[in-house]
Amino acid sequence: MRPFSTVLWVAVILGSGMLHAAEVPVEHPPFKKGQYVHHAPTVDDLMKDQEIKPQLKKVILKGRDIFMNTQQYRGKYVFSRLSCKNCHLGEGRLNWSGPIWPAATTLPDYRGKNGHVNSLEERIAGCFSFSLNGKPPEYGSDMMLALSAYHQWLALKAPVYETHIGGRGYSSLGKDIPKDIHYVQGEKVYQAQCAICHGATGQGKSVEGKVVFPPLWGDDSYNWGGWYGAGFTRRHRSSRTTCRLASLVP
Amino acid sequence: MMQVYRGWLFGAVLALTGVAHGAGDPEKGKLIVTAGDGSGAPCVACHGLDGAGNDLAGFPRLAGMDAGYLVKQVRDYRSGARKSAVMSPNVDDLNDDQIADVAAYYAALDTAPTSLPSGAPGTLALGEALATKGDWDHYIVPCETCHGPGNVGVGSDFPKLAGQHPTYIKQQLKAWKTGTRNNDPNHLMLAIAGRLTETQIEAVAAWLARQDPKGGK
Repeated sequence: MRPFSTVLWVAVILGSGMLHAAEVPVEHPPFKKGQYVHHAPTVDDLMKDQEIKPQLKKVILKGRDIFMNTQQYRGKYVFSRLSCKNCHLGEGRLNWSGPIWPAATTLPDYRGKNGHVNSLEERIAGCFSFSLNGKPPEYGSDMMLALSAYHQWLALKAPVYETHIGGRGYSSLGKDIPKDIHYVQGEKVYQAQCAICHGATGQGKSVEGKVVFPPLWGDDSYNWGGWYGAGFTRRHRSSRTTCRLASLVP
Repeated sequence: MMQVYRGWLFGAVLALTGVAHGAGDPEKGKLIVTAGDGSGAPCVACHGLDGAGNDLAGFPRLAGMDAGYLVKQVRDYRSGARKSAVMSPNVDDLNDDQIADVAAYYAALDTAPTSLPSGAPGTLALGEALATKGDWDHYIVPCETCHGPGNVGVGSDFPKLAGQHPTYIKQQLKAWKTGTRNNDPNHLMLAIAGRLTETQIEAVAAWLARQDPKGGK
């Protein structure tokens, strides 16, 4: 083998090499003509915004904290091991990953899921009841106020009751389920692409009791009214799409 | 695109086969760390008996790293899946059991925070924002989304970053960015690093290196 100093020298040369790899593309469905595409503000924008009163900033940031660290309410309002951010990626701002601001600009509205006109608070309560398998904070409570404020601030400058929204919800794989679909093939795809984060059986992964990768099914995940009832599987939508469009998986 | 497709398939196979062996013996590992693989330099020459590595030389800290992660990396050096003119000749004569022993030795060592001079506040603030909030508008996920709370690592696929040497973190991010390192499962890091700017790489390495390897604040 080479003398040690030579090996070091070679390492320095290699370390300064400047090849260029092809960037992994972010594959989004195209926005349709006439759709409104929103760019939700960031926390940095909030802190710089002179128009928003400091008292309101505090409430918005509390809403963000509930959204990002929902597990702090485990056992009280949340009985699954999920947090809001697990489904609504990128702080609830990211297009095609369930951005939450459209709830603030399109509600109150009639929803087929429960057959009546829903307020923003009722929509948020739905996520607590089903996706978080929990018990919603009371309407008008400080928690509801904070979450509503976070939604509404993310919608800053978006047109009210504009429903032609680009990147709303999740991308769809289409309504027709292919005839040759089979769980054996599904397992192969799962093990190759999903298991690294969500575990061999979809149980998720935790570090010292803190969920890092959310469980995909079972008692620790959403219940019957969550993704399933919300129409994910009904419309043959795929949670992989969430990861893929967030470009967590190339 | 085809290149990327084949790449992640390859990565997935590696991920599944990576940790096939049982736990190694740290006592035997210590002997190998000192003696080497019979040719080239022993581990101790660069990584130290305490696994502290060396920041300026770009030698990573190994103490307290996940054993399964270390096993996969050394095997990848041996097979050429991870390329390094330094590492490959120094580990090419180790068998699977010896690799497991070395990994068990370093994994069991205690970790102390790095002793770095205080960094530039602006750089550290940018690094902290990237590591804890990400830059979602450019599809850069926060480090801790995968590397766990405090970036202390998750299992054998997502290594500890907290307290790793900044020079090494920078080298690796640049290696993914340029494609010279591509042994990451599902090419998750290749995707993220490719989107990082030089300034972001500098900042995130500086901040991660100054965090407690055990996840304390």
